[in-house]
This record gives sequence, C-alpha cells and structure tokens, in this order.
Amino acid sequence: MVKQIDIIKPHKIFPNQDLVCLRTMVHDDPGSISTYLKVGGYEQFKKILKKKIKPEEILAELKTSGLRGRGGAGFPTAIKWSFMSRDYDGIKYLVCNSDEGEPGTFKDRDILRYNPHQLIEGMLIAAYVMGTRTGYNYIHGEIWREYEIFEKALDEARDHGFLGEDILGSDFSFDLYAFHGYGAYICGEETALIESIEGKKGQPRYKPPFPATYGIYGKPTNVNNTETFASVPWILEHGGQAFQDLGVENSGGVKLFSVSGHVEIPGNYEIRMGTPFSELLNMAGGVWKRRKLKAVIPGGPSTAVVPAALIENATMDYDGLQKIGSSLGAGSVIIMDDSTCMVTALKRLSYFFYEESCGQCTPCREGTGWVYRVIKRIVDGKGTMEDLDLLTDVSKKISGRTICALGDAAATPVLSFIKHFRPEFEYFIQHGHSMIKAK
Amino acid sequence: MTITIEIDGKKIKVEKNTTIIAAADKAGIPIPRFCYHKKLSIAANCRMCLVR
Amino acid sequence: MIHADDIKLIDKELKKFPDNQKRSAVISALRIVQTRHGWLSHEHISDVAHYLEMPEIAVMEVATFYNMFNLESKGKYQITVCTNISCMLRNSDEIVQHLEKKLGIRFGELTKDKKFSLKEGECMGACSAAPLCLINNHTMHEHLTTEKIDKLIASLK
Repeated sequence: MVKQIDIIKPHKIFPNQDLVCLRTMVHDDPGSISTYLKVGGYEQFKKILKKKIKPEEILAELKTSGLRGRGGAGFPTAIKWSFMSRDYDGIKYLVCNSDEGEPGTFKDRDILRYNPHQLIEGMLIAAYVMGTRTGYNYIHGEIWREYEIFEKALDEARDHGFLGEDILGSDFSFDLYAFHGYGAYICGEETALIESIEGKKGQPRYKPPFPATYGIYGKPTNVNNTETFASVPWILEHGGQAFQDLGVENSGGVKLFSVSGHVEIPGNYEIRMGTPFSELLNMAGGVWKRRKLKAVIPGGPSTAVVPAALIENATMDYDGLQKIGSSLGAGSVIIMDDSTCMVTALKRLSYFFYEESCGQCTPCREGTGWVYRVIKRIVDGKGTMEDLDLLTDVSKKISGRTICALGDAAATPVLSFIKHFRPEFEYFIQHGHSMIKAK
Repeated sequence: MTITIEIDGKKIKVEKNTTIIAAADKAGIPIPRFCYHKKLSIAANCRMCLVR
Repeated sequence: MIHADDIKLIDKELKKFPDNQKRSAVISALRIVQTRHGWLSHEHISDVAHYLEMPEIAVMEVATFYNMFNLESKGKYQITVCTNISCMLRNSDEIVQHLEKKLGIRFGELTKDKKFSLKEGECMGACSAAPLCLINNHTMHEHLTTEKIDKLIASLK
C-alpha cells in the first residue's frame, strides 16, 4: 500500500518558468490522473485516436520541435523514431529509460512522481507512431517509492481505459509495464537495459545492430529517456515550432536541469535551452554559504568539468556547452565551490566508473581499475609526477576502444580534471596532501 | 573473387569476405589477439585486435 | 522453498512478459525473495532458478551483477549510504563517519547483535536530497544530519 507522497514542492516554481514536463507541479496532488486530466492531459492522445492522425504527421511535428534525446546522447528523437520500420508487422517493443544512474541526475525521478501520466501519454503516442504493442518503463531500483508511484499511475491509466486492448474503442492496443533495475549504472545504456529486461546481466551489445533492428528478445525496440517521452504531449498540443522557439538553434525546447552540490537550493529546474548558466545558478540560490564558484560539471560526470571562469558566460544548450569544451549530457549540473579538492573529487568519480564497469571489455575493465588505483595512490601521498602522464595515457587508451560509452565516460573526467586543475594534482603529489585547507 | 588490400603499406591479394585478422596473418603481419579463435563465435571483448 | 505469498508476487511480475520469457522476471523474483530473507543464499538462488526454469548459473550471474543484491547475511536493517560526488559535496563523509562511530562498524560489516549493516552506495538519483541513505533497499531518508541519523537509528527497533 503506497502512502500518500509528500506534496512538498521541492523548490520554488518561478512565475516565468516554461513548464513542460513538470507542468503539474503547480497543482496539489500533481501526480494523480485527476490533476493530469485537469491540465488537459490525454487530450492529445484522444485526438490522435479520434481523428486517426497519421504517424507521419506526428513525426513531422516532432522533427520541427527539435526534440533531442534527453538521456544524455541528444540524438534527434524524430529520426530515432523513424528507424522503427512501420512495414514490419511483427512484435515490436517500446522502452522508457528511467534508469537515471548518471551521478547528479534526478530529473526523471521528479517526472515519475510529479507527472507520471504525461510520461504514459508520451509513450502511448510513441507506441501509436511506431506500432509497438508492449512497453516497459525501466526504473532504477534505488527509488523504490517512485516505482510504486508509477505502478499506481499505470493502474489509474488502465482504470480510465487508456491502456490495454482496443483503447477507447479504437483498433490501437498498448500495454505498459513497470520494470525495475537493482543497482547497475551500466543499465542506463540502451542495449544493456535491453539485456536486463531479458533477465541477464546488463552487458551492452554491439551496435550495429541497433535496437530498432534487434532489441528485446531480438524484436525491433525503441528506447528513449523519460524526459524525452514526457515532452511529446506538450509538443503536439502547442506545435513543434512552439517547442523549438522556447529554445535556441540546435537545442529546441526546455530542459530539466538537475542542480546539485554546493548550491543553496538543489533541485530540478525546467528552463529554456540557451538560458545563461548564471541565470540557472541564480535560480538555485547561487553558490551556498556565500562561497566562490570553483568548477562545474555541466552534464553529469561523463561530461568534462569546466572551471568557473569558462562557464560563467556560457549558455545551457548543446552548442553553448560544446563551445567551452564540455557537453550538455543529461543536464546534471554539479556545482563545486572553492573548498573542493579536485583530486579527491576525481578519486571518487574514478571509483564510481571502476565499480560500475560491466567487465566485458578489457580497456574499461582494466583501465578504470588502474585509473582509480593511480589516483588513490596520489591521494594516499604515494604519487609521482609520472602518474599524471600515466593517467592521461591510460584514459586516452580507453576512449574510443570500448564496446560502449562507459569507457569514454570514465576517461573524460580524468582528462578534463587534469587539464584544468593540474597544479592541484602536482601539489598533492609533491606534498602528499591536498592544496585545499580544511574548511 | 580476389581483392587487393593494403596492410602497413604492403599490398596483398585475398578472397573477398576474408576477415582482416586472417588477411593480416596471410600477409605475415599477425595482429595481436586474445579472445579470437576461428572455431569460436565472435566475442570481440578483449579489444586487443583493434587496428586503424 | 519460495514462500507462497512471494510466489503470488512473482507470478504478478511474470504476467508482464511473454510466456516463453520467464527469465525476464528474474530480477524481480530475486528482489522479492531477498526482501523476505534479507539476503540470497545459494538455496534461494536455486529456488528462483527452479521456479523460472532457468539454469542456476544464469540466476547466479544476475545476483552477482546487480549491486543491490546481498549474497551474504545482512543486518536486520541494512543502511546504504551514497558517497558519490553530489552527496560527497554535501558532506556524506560526515554522515558515514557518524554512522561508523555510532554503530561501531564500517562499510561491509555487521553489528554484533546483527541489527545493522552498512553499505557504500553509488548515486541513487535523488541528489537534491543529499546526503541520504536507503534502508533495506526500500525507504530513502533524505537531507541527513547527525541528529536525523540518531533519531533514525533510535526508531529502528
């Protein structure tokens, strides 16, 4: 029996915020179906069924919107959906990736608990477009309460006739189930996720073949992130152009930025793509305890760390962050103030990738272990100057040589931390302790 | 059908669809390998045979 | 033997998949069995393998791969604390030290009365609530302070 969730809005909703995925949060009981129906939920789906709107029309709207995969890869969603052959008559699957394992990311959790029905409607529309009969929402195991909340939302949707056979008297059928992981960051990788759904270890597959060709049980499968699906109903309601116009070139729409670390008000901020970083930091209350900003990881640790001076004038969108040598990733903004020891931070990040490596391929399995051990010996006061070149060398040899992107993700922090904060590493090696005085 | 390929600047002729690893062996420039065996299905996870 | 109530729960999960793909329910089945017993012994793994008509080694692979599964007996209350970057930046180290002192154990250890065990966790996707912990893989306790920890430990009977 799920207890009523606390309807505490985690942070202030700003009056000029353009809410797409979190639009129910301004209401009491945001996650319930009654609230979702009140804000016009399921109307787009009902319209599609009633008017028998062609999938091509929906794809066209999606293309105009400029929606890109919100899980981190940023692949244009309309193109990804078009990979699912509509000529194929057999079983196909739809998957929502709510594994959300990238450190500093917690946006999908808010969608699951504050607006699960918008996700369900987004998946219904996707299923209609791609002709998939069955769907799974893969939710990571650590957020057990949100998993139960989503199961409850599915029951509500079924009770209202939005899921099942011949929905609302049409010839369209779709069943959606919640699936839970149980502790594996690698299952956020779409082929590892598929392996997990099949009941195996989450070890990524080779691509090609892509899931649209060979997915769950070998059937064509489309995998998208929670936020990607949840953005779809709004796009159809207001039009693709309206979504694109909220953002900037190459980065249409709004994005949920999970802001964590050394800020006054950590939380999820749904803002227009292209918003200046300084504005986002302001919304989150600025650096906490009146301290100075030192560094930012803008898109989760798989993206390069950026020193304060470089990000202060940057904009939060794909191009804006690429310009400063990093990337948008999943939009997980980790703020570090001047009390942060970058060496210790890198040690923890390296440990994470080492722990989470699936072990399948040598460069990642062995490389992440070596990177961690070398940084650890620096932190233990036994490092040498050669270790910095060794770390760079090993990281470069992992990058691009692995079966999946976890290897690249492990290499990026090492290369960027050493690039921007080399003096701290050298100090640690020379003195056997951190340059940062204890707070 | 025979085709010509170049490995480390050396031109060799091989049957079409020959694997690179077999072609290199034939050319006398064996590529290091660990998880590959002609009688086993492809694992490709040791990553030792990566070439440019 | 799998408890009858657990069989009902596993069957509910099995309905989500095609009849010839019982294997897909293995993570849920192991979770359900672990929730009752606190950990997964070889016997539990065998039982699940038998019920899902899977090779035992296939179930063992899954049990060893996903890090929320316990292959050793744990305390009545297993406390998993995230120490990843966003929690670390918000002083999870202090929370860990406090727990270690209070319970007299470190990560991977069990208290003498077998009531508590500590585990180091990776990012749980709730970083705005850092620092935090998970009790028995089920209940998350957020915005931890040493005072909250004291109250929490006292409340766990």
